[in-house]
Amino acid sequence: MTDTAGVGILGTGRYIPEKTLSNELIEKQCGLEPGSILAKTGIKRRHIAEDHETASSMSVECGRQALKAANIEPEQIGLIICCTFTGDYVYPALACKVQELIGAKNAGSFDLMANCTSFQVGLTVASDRMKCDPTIGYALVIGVALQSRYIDWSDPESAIYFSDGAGAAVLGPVPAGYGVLASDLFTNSRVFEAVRLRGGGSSHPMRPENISAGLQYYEMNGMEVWKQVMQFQPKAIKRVLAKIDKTTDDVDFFIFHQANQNLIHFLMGRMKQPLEKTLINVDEIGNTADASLAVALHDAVVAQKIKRDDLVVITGVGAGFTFGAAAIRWY
Amino acid sequence: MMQHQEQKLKEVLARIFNVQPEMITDDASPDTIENWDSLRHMNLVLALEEEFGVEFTDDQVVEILSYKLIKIVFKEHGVEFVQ
Repeated sequence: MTDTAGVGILGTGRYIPEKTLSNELIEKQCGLEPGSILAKTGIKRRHIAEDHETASSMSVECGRQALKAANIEPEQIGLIICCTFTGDYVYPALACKVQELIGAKNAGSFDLMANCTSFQVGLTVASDRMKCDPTIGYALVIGVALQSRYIDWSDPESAIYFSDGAGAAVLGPVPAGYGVLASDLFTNSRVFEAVRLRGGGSSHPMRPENISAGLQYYEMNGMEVWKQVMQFQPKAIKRVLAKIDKTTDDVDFFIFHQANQNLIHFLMGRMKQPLEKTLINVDEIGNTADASLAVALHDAVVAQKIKRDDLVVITGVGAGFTFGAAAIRWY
Repeated sequence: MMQHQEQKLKEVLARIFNVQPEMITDDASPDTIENWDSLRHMNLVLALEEEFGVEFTDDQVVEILSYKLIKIVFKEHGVEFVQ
């Protein structure tokens, strides 16, 4: 690879657990009106890992799919990034275990946390690293969320949305002008506390008093989330497109974080873009957090909604709040 | 014309929030209209842009959280109402 060559996505994969939780069950447990979850979120069900399924097992499954799709052997991978906040352990990094399990013996590995934006950030970090150091060759970026173990299923603020899952992409050299053209990331930390998981953090270690206080569960201010998305997600898209002198009309396909079907409809409506230029799977699989962008990208690739030369924007929003977007000329 | 605009605005809000237009008073906000939730607010933004031919800024989208604030923001877009 020369220093003028691009870094693009060569293969993708996904893993979604088979077990599901129905809206009816969640509505009953949360004291919600029948049909209210579907109306509010567009989500029909959520997928939950069985006891034997782990963040590493889900990562390996989708990682192997991505390698196969890219026709790359594990030994050719020079970098593994696992985008997650629900790894098997607090430490070591999940990526290290994934490296061992898939046999990517030549890869450097680390985890990255930017919540639901993290897969986009992971793509950016990987492509930047590969452009700085072409000897990396290929990178495996995995977004994985095993969040069902952190959900209070009687809390309607979080129980209605979240699912488990994993998605992956293999990055490698592509001709100049293709691949990741630009990325952007910004943060609005004024709402740092709006979505959080305190238990297990160094300020709230897993001790009996913190568990008694319920700190092992997600806490989410849903109203603040939608305000953040409505206000800042369009800015993220405009910022990355400005870097390549393009507008939303120039974009062939949008990959959004799959938080809420209604939000995606709203964002496309605000940008005056047809829904055919995006993919929605949150209705079928729920909000898979860190995995969401990767899984949506995989589904779009498999459905052949993205073709060579398309300008693709991948954009996420996550707790923190972090906002990111990447513009990719598809190869 | 300005009275017509006022009536049109109330009708849009009433339709989106599924309430009688008489309920859309100067004090109307999520505090006074139970149906003014996040989902319907998104629908309201898109409906106001379409009905009045304006394009809110990204910041204005989350600022228009009351009837009065909608009118103030509309004024910035040249849409006038009776004072």
